[in-house]
Amino acid sequence: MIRVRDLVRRHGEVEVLRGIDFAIAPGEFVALTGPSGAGKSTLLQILGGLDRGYAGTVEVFGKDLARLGERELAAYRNREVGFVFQAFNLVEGLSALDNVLLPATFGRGVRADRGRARALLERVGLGAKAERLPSELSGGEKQRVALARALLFSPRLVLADEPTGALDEENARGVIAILCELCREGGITAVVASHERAVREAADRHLVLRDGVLEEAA
Amino acid sequence: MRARALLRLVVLGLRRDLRGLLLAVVGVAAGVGALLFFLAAGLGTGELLRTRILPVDARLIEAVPPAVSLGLFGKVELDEATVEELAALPGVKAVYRKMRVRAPAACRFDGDFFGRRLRMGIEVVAEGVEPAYFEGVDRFEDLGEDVVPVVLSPRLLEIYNESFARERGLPRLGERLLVGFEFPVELGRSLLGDDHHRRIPLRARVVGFSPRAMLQGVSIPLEAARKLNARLGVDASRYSAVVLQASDAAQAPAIAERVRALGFEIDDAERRLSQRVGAAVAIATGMLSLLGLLVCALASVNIALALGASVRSRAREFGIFRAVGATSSDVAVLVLGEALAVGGIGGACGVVGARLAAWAADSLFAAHLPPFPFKPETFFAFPPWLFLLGLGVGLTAALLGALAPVRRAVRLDPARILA
Repeated sequence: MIRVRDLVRRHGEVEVLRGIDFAIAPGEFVALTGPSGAGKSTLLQILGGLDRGYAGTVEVFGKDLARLGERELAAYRNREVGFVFQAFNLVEGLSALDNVLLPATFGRGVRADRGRARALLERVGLGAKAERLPSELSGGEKQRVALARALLFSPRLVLADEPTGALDEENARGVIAILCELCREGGITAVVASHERAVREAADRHLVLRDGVLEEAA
Repeated sequence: MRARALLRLVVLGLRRDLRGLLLAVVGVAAGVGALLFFLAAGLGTGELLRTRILPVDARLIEAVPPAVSLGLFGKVELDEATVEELAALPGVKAVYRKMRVRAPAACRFDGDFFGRRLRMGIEVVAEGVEPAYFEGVDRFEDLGEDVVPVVLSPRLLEIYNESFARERGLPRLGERLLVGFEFPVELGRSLLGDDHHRRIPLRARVVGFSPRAMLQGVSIPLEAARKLNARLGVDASRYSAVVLQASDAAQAPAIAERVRALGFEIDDAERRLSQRVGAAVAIATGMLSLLGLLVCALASVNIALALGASVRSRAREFGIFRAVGATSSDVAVLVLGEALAVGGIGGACGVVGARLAAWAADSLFAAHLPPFPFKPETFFAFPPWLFLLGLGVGLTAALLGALAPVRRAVRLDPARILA
């Protein structure tokens, strides 16, 4: 369960999020839309424990994120959250397989399960390209590697920030389909910021963020 | 963070800016190499000084009567009673009496000298010493006949080999070859014309070598010196010096003070010369080593710049690491790991470089410097701790250089970078 109460985030003088309240049930697939600069990325980063400079309460699976220490927050990002970014954010110089295994590098008390990483790459259709470097993959393939990385530790929450923003229509559809399928299969809660119609159609709920204010779409 | 994964990410990070980091490695290697080269040269020269040119046993104090004695209670002399008094001083473990042969002596050699015809005359100074003073020298005792056993200083042999023998075309000699060699000595005769003493012809037999033997003459048994002085009709009861052996070197200064308080002088000319030359070597080594440290400091700045640029260009990468679970400490460890790799490799290269430079310098000296007494095979000393110091300095330079980049890396805001 995700509960957000009276969430305010300022960047200098600018109030990016203005007293947001919402809740998301476990396993829900939520589409988040809104114009550029509305605060979608900021909201996702707060939910993912990357941004701590907010006021209000953010509880994710019973954890008040503001009360977690740096180490606990890192463990939360490592084990319970999977990020998917618009710009893929793969590490150049590491193969697709090693990129998928990257969370294991920083996980405490976890084993680098290469079998699971390979299985995830198979699942996103890149089993044959596991040893390729990011520079040898297309945009769609990179995003699928990023998706596999987000799911390595079977997180309870996936946060995707414009995952198809840098992809052509065909690749975008493919990535959305895989994302939906994997989240549904694993009972993973997902918040996907996207302008893609396919995302809105696949989502259980549709939230709209406009000028820092969140509304439930009709 | 797992060590293997850390290593892989460190290597990955180093490969990002290979040229910049290679320059940083070269900087550390140059600094460490220069530092070690000069330190090794200082250590080698100091060791040469201490062990061969001016060997000084810090436990020994040589007391001599004052050159001018104006004491209210009479002349300060080294007779048996005062020697006993000195031996009873706290911290004195043993005393060794010395008595000069109080007449001139000359050696006129005309004959076969190890296969070469040699004709020469030389003034000889002889000093009697208690046999126990020369550890490990056998047959050093008064033979009671006209053959006097003598102990020579190895430094005298070195000067003969590298200077006298070379100039006169005489054979180079070793200690073992010279043991048993006899040469004529005429006591009471001087080549300078001081012929008023009774003359006593003797044969001197070399029985051994000791660094404690006198440099500018020959050491003979104390009893032989006493008898010869008696035969010459000169003072055979008072000693010319007495050597006090402290139970440990730390007590020597206090004993020397007490000896001075009793009105004696300390014959420490060689010790003071050794200290002065040693200090000069230490100062020169220190100055040159500072140069090496300065290069290390510049290498540290270079590392700071190279790593700083690397951290700036990899901000997004560090943001990704944070997003998948890295703490700021993990990021710090990564950057530090890269710095330590640079410092470690640079330090190791510096160590090897210093060793090679020392070898090259020794080869050059061997080929181009003319032979001279005490010329060593190597002017450098590389004790094991010097290698560890080289690595340590390399790693320290890298760590210091990494401070600012690490600070920058841990302060990166992943939310802002990944937005």
